[in-house]
Amino acid sequence: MRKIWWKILCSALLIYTVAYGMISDVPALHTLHETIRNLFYHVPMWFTMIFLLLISMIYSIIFLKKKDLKYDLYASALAHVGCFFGVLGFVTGMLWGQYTWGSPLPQDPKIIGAAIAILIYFAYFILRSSVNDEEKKAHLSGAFNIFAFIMLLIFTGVYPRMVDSLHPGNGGNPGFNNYDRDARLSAVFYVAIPAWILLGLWISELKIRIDLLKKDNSI
Amino acid sequence: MEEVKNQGPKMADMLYQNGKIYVVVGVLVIILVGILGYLFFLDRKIGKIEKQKNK
Repeated sequence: MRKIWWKILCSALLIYTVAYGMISDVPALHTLHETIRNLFYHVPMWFTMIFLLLISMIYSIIFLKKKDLKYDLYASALAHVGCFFGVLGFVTGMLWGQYTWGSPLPQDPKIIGAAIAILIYFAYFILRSSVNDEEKKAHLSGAFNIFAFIMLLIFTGVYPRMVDSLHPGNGGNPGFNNYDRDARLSAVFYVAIPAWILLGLWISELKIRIDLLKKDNSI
Repeated sequence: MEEVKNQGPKMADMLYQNGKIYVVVGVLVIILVGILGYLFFLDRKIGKIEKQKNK
């Protein structure tokens, strides 16, 4: 009944990413050295977060249109897993920053923006837990979820590009394409992105199924 | 260490190359396969509960 092929695909891509990403030939860059390999692990955490939060917002819109509480459950589970990946991106970025920028939390607009965006999602969870009426909770948090995703885009996509940032592709820094065009990096990077996104979807699917069972008092 | 190894007969020593990075790769793959296997296990377990519910 349930499709399993994409989970096997996810596993294969992830094993390739983790194994080949560690031993593949990478360009020799100043300051970064071998840490450029974090491109295959740290960066896809954020891509996965944004992807899951986008789907979460879409389910919130579907809920607000169709008024079926099932879609609200989908939106909340995806937001949970999305924020989990965001926290992973944050923590891995702190470790990477410590050894390349010299500080785990430099005054960087993208880091501050990401922190604010994650805090807005924490407000979403607090809002959800503070309303007892299921219908009201779904309506309020559904509307808030749309606002939260737009804020996420502004704080991580727009604002860092308007000021100087340490992150590539923002402010006065060279675009992502400088690294991206290197065939050695993209051979792993373009596999890493779908691999981690599929993992995020897989975990979200499990959470949704558990939440549905809980709702029916089956577990 | 390296010299001593080079004096002996040539054996399959892939895991000793490149500063033994392949050992780390092996560890990572084992952990990853373990985590993915656990996800598959959870997937099946949830599937079973879903089946029970539908009965």
